[in-house]
Amino acid sequence: MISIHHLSKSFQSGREAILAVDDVSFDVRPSEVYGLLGPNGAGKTTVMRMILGLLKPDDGFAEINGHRSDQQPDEVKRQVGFVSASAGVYQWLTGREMLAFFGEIYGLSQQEIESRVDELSELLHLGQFLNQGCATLSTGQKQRLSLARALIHDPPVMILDEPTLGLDVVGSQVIFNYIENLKNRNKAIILCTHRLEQAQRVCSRFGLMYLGKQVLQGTMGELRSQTGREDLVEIFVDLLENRSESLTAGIVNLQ
Amino acid sequence: MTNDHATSPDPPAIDVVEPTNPPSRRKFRLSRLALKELRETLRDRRTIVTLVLMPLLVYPTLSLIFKTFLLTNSGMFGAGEPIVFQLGYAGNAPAEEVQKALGFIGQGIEFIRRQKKEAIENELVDQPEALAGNPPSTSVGRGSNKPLDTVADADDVDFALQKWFYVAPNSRESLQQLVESGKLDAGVSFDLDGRAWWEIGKVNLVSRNDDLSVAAADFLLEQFKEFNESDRKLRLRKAGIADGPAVIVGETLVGPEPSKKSRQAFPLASLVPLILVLMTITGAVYPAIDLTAGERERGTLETLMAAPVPRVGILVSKFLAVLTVAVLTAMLNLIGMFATVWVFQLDKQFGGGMFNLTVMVQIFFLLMLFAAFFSAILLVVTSFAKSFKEAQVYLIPIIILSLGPGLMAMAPGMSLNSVNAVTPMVNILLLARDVINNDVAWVPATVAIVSTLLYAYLAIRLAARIFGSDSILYSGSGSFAEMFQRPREFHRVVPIMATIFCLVMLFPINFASIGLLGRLSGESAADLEARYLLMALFTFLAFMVLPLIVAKHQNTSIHIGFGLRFPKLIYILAGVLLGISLWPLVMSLTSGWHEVYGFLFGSEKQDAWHDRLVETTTQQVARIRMVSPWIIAIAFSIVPAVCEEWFFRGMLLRSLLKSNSVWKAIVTSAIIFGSFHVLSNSVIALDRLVPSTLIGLMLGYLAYKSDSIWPGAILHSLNNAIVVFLAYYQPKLSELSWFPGEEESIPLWWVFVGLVVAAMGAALAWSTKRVEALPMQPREDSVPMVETNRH
Repeated sequence: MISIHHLSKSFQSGREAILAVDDVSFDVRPSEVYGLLGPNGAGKTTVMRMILGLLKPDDGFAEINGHRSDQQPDEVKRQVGFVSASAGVYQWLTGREMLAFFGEIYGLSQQEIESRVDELSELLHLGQFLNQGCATLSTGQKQRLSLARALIHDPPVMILDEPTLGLDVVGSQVIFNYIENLKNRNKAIILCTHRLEQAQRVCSRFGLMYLGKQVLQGTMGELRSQTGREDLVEIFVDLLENRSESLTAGIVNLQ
Repeated sequence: MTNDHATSPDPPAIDVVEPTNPPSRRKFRLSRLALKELRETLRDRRTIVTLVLMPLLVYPTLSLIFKTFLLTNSGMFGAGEPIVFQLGYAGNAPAEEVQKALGFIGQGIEFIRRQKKEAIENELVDQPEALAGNPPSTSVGRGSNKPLDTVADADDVDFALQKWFYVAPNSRESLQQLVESGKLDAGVSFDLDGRAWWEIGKVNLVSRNDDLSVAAADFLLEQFKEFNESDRKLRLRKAGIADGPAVIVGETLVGPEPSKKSRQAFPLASLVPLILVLMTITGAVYPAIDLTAGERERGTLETLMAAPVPRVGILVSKFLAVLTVAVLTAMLNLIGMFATVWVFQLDKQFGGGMFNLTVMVQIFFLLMLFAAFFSAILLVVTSFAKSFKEAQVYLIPIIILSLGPGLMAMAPGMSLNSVNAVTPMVNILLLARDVINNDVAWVPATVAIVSTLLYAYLAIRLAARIFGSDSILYSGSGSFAEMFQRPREFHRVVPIMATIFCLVMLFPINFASIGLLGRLSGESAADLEARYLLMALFTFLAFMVLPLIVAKHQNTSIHIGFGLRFPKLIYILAGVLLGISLWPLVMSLTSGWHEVYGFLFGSEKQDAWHDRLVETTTQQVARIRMVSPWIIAIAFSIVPAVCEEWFFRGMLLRSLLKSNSVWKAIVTSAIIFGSFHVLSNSVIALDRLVPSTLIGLMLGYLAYKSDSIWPGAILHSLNNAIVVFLAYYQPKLSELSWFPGEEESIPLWWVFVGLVVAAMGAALAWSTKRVEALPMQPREDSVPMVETNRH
């Protein structure tokens, strides 16, 4: 479904080139949630952007259902629903207008849009604010609307970049519940989040990134046996406390 | 790709929404996109403020300013106390005939039109009296200083007073001297030679270059025009005469020569378009920032980018939205402006210019054009910015810069000549002024419109390129600052952005050097030699030193980046053949352009233009002949040829070749080369465009095939040398009957011979295999070479 092959990307910062993503590879199958985790600045967002074709990789490529994002970006975009932490909503449109707009962009007919909006509105509890101008929505409402927007064309692949950023416990619970729902509906999902407990619950496999490199990869059980730690929080703390060298030394690619 | 995933069966529940018919869908989406952008913008409070509130506030304020202006200048422009024009007559006609004629010309016209015939009898001019340099005495007549067609109601016409003075043939000062010294405001001279007063025939109008005299002369001219045009027959019948010959007015200007347009009392016709254009800019600025930088800041742009819409489509939709708002602004402002002009009768009080519905529609069309152009420019700039504030910072200089051409177009002497017609913004402003003045010349108008459309198109293309680049979308790279940063990598050719920077810098440098050289007005041989050498120095600095500095700064290989390798001999031969054979073709092309010009403007203008051309050319040739041939060779042949090849075929073409197809690169460089030759001399302007561009194509092709600028430099210098030395030695050559005389054109068979030789040269270049590009010599202190092109 999703396969990432040796993606690398560096950015020019002044005269320095910074390697933001260094040879990252992984696959995600349908009904799988792949947790792409790592501290801020690890390169997760860059990976996601390259998968979507928003950024051109220096090396390697990403493939979705056999379409390479550097060759057929439109085909890839059609099959992906993308939610990011920074995704905004259109201030001067209502939620319904915004959803309809994106429905049309993805080539849905008017009837399809209507039934899809009703469906999503019920699932994500958008009903009470769907006809409100987006500028007046709360963070949680905006984020739910963003999720609905990404799902409007019912894509087989979801890429979620910190979908719960800035949400309270209840708000993020709604999102995580829905991610589980998506998993049950055979979507292939890449999830990037800092909510490690929920990630541990919802993700099937994990990839830990640090400083652009893929440090660890595998199911929760595999991560435990590699690190000797019980849960993601501990693994993360290890990573951040500069014990990364020992971790990087033991990169295990389970493919 | 791991094969097990590719072969695994697709999960059943997934239903991918695949558009059934992508191309038609795409079209639909573009309009949908644009509609969304527009809806969003129009719901925005800030858009509404600029759209509606500004015109509501601006125009009443403006009308106040106009009114204040009127009051402070009332003496001059008809409101308040009317002024008395001191007018003189000189000639041999008997006093009573002159009196009749002047009475008729000066005031009778309007009274008859208003069927107040008694007014004529009551207010005829007094007996013209001998003045001969004495202070003006009392002899007052009254007439109107309003053009008739703007007078709506006869009763509210303000009258200007005139005093007529008879300048006797034996007076101490002539009419000209009296006008020049300010004792008279204007005057006419005509002889009757025994004819009756209505057979005036030829009149000479005398005025000097100041507002009062110009106003007086305009007043007289208007009356003569009236006499000739609208109801001359009617008037003559009323006077009991069947018909008479038309009055032909010749004009004599004394004192410093004024420019033609300074005859306008107040540039209302120039001011109106400027205000409208500035307001249109105001309308476009906010949506342009909001829809690009604003969206990026709010994070909605990435969402849109993640959808299957081409980036160009997104940009075009944004352009359409900005354009719509700008056009709406223009429309509201236009209505506001015309309403102001109409309500306060500014057109009448200032004189000059028409403000009716047709003009309004035409101006609206021009504003639409301008809006398209400026919206595209705005998008280029705002596409760079990552935040609203950053975009604002970039736009302030742009808006201030746009005031420059705006004020330039306000200048009285400006007209839509070939340079102004292709100068962005200035062309639209001047055209709008001409529309208001009902003085449109169609060819420059077409040039202005087409060039503006072209600029708009190019700006959209550029904006799409900037907008689409992911280095702009994300991260700190791609900012303006980075463009000026010295890269660590070593380049084969100068990066295109640096070349564009060079090109942009060349325009002002070129203008400045033309201006500076214009200040050196000495005509002695030494002066001319100094001027020509200075000209060569400017060419050297602009086209050689500046590119060299930029290339060095960009860590570019000079040898490869400018194509300095020694070429294959066969290309040198091709360069020589083309260099000696292209000039007859260029000359026939130039005369071909004259024919086109004649076809477009009419043969009268063609002749006038041709005369002017011959005059300036003759002047130039006369100057050239005063100077040593060595200096001519340096200043007109060697330096321009080498330096221009250095920049156009070296830096520019090679930079373009890097990221474009061969023909696109050659054609682009040739057009830029041609445009520079138009700009280099405002007199012999447009006729150089086509020949220079064609030679540019040839030079570009030669440089591409030979991978060197030298064959082109040889071609270029030979061509220049032949043209300039043919002129230099023409008298001797004609004496030997080797060359046609000054006014003759070259024989047709020369063109054919030229064509054959040129074809041989071109065939040589064509048939020879292209020289492989030089390999890069790695330098120790440099990082490995990288591709310079980010996109």
